[in-house]
Amino acid sequence: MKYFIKKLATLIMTLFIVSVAAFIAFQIIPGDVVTSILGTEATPEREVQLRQELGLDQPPVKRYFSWMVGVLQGDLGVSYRYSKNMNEMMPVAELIGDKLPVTLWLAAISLMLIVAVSIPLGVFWAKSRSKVLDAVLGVTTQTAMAVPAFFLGILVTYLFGIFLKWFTPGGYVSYQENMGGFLGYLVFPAISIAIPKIAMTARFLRNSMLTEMDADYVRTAYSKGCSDRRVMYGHVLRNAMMPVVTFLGMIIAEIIAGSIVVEQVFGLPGIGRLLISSISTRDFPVVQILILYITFVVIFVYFLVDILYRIIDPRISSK
Amino acid sequence: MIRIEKLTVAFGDNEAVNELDLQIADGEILGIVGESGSGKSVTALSIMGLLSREAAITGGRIYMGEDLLLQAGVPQDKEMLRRYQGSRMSMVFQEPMTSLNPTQKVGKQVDEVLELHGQMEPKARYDKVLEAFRSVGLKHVEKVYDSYPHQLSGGMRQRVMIAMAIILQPELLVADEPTTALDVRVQNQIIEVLREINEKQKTSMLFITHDLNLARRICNRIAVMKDGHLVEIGSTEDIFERPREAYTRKLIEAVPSRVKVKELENTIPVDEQGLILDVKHLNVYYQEGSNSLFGQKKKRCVVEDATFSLEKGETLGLVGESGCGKTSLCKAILGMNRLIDGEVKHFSQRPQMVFQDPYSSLNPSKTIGWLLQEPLRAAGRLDPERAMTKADMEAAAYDMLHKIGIAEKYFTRKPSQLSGGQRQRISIGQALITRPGLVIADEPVSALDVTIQAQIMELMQKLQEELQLSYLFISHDINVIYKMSDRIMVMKDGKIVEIGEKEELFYYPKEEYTKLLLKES
Repeated sequence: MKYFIKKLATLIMTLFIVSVAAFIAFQIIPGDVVTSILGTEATPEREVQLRQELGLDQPPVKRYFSWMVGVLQGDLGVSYRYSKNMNEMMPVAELIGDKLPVTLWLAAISLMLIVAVSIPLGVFWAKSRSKVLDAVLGVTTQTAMAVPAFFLGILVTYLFGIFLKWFTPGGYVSYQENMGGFLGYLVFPAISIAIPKIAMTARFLRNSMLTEMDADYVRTAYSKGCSDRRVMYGHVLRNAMMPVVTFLGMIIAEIIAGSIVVEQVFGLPGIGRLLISSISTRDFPVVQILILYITFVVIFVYFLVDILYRIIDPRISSK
Repeated sequence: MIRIEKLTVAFGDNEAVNELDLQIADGEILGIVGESGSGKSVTALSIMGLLSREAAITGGRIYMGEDLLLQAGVPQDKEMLRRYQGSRMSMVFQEPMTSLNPTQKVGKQVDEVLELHGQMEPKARYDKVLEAFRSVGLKHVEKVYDSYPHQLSGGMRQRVMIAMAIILQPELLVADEPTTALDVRVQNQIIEVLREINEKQKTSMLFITHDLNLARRICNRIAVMKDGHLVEIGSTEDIFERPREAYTRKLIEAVPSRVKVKELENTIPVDEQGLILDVKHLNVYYQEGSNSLFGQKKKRCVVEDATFSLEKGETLGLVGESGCGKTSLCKAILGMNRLIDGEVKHFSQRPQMVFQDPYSSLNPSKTIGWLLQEPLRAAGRLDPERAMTKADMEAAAYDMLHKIGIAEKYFTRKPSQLSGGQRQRISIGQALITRPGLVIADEPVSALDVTIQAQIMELMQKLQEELQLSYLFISHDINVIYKMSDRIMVMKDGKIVEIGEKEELFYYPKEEYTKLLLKES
């Protein structure tokens, strides 16, 4: 219980600090939203008027608090750039709500791929005693780790989209229309995200398992009459997973942040693309919320990792 | 029952075991004794089929009864081996701390043996595990079943390991240094458990140890190994009473020490009356600094007119409140404070000190082995005649590790990996490695919790007997003093208030202050 309160306090503190930092950042960076919106139609009068409309004539501290109060009450503010129709501003919540599922599903599918492939691969690799296989896997994973995500995206598009014609490049299906089609389309960007991470995780797991194989309890397990397979899956894997779980947590955080590039390559309307366009147009209300959201997800994932860690290693909770 | 014929095991070009012939009879306990690297563990692992992949069996055979377990040049039948492992032969390892899977409940780990070798129902298996736990002297067995290894003490873990090894009543139990990592008291209990199993279940045992004394206590026969060869084998009595080989004799003589035994033995010099320390009319002063440049420095007397003496093998307890001059007195005796007058006569050359705080008195950046050797290096520099070779110093340090009940693996580790009790053991080891006659222990157990306190005191008493030490044992805790001392000296405000035999002083204190001290505790 105490543990949860502590974690919660950390979460709130971090979010607060990040929100302040994000807010200050946009006070400092050059570029003015008003001139950016009005563009060539700018006249001094219209600028003043728009500034008042957006509340930008208030001092920064006051703006921060009125924004924060709004966020705490569930009002995420309105976008400067997008509008619902001629007369209505676009609420940020609605804007993000549309794109969030795309990014979250992308991350989820990527993670599933990573876990489903890297763990058996890592175990298999650790078990293999063939030097040839060892070298092949070594080089393959090294290469996979080194290739940048956008290039992998292009390769995947070429291989599955143009060569094998398993999907239509750029033929994104919205999840509101067809959930199956949507997920089917997401698999391919997820593959491009997952490949380097699979390579890293498999390597990591293999090394961790090889270290664990020298542990005394492994010898004990063999002395009981356990087969290689049983020693691997029954004893070594769980112990070897401990560092890997931490590693996976870091990877999840990376996927969320790294999906920006892949979303561009595959034309996915996720928050990555929204983030880029909002930054370039100085659409601060959107950017600030996205930053808070990413921070929240990362901290939450670390929290889950922590819980998982406690489940795997009984020694931690008693400390 | 086990027949080893001309077994040769090599690691690369290095032959760890060379043409070894050995038999273990039904129901006997055979000890293999040798220094580390003698091939004793490799032999055990060969029987169990647990050799690491780097090891190659280049010659020989091992039979269990009529069945061929292992033959050089023929790949081992893993299926058959697995049927033997855990059910017909099993093993207890040296390190109970790491030999159990840290992420599995110990009950489940024992249960796995049953699961692998039998078709029993889960409920029946559960009962059988509990029964095995009881048979090795574990209490609260249900609770133990659901514990993770880190929740159990070293002794309990080793009992769990033994339970795991004997649950299917194997014909052979291989115990590789099963008590080395445990402290003396637990060591005895584990030996008892093993002996009982041998008697009740008629299990044959291969008992591997570097400690001849331990082998003597439990084994029927002893095989002495050196550099992969069998030096000598015979009944325990023959080995000890009529050793045929020089190496065996050397090992026996080296009990309890492998190092320069002759030279160090009984060299603790005493005067005609058997005194090791004689202090007469000692005053100790303390320089009070003056702030002004030319100000006269003042001397303050912190110990006044101290007169006492210490006999060989005796413990003199020194008790008093903090600030009464206990530590100043010690420093003066050790020569760390020169502002004294009076007479301090040492009859032993190398008094040593054990300090209170085991956390700060060991250099955290050095290994345990280095720390233990440091006093030897210092002694060697002071007196070239006593300089030892590097190998000798290392051997002495290893030897001291055994004496103070710390596992050899700690040799290369740093103090931060030790508990407070273990660190204090190291401090004691440092003090004793130069074989002093007199050890001054300044509150050596005050920073430790009660159970560790008891263990450290036990260790100090054991070492006192072994090495004929005299202790000047300082504590503010009257109970600790009572437990340790032969005579007690009470100090107050720099003066010795009363000296007397322990019992006398406790039951018939003469001075008011002593009575007060006794009443308070």
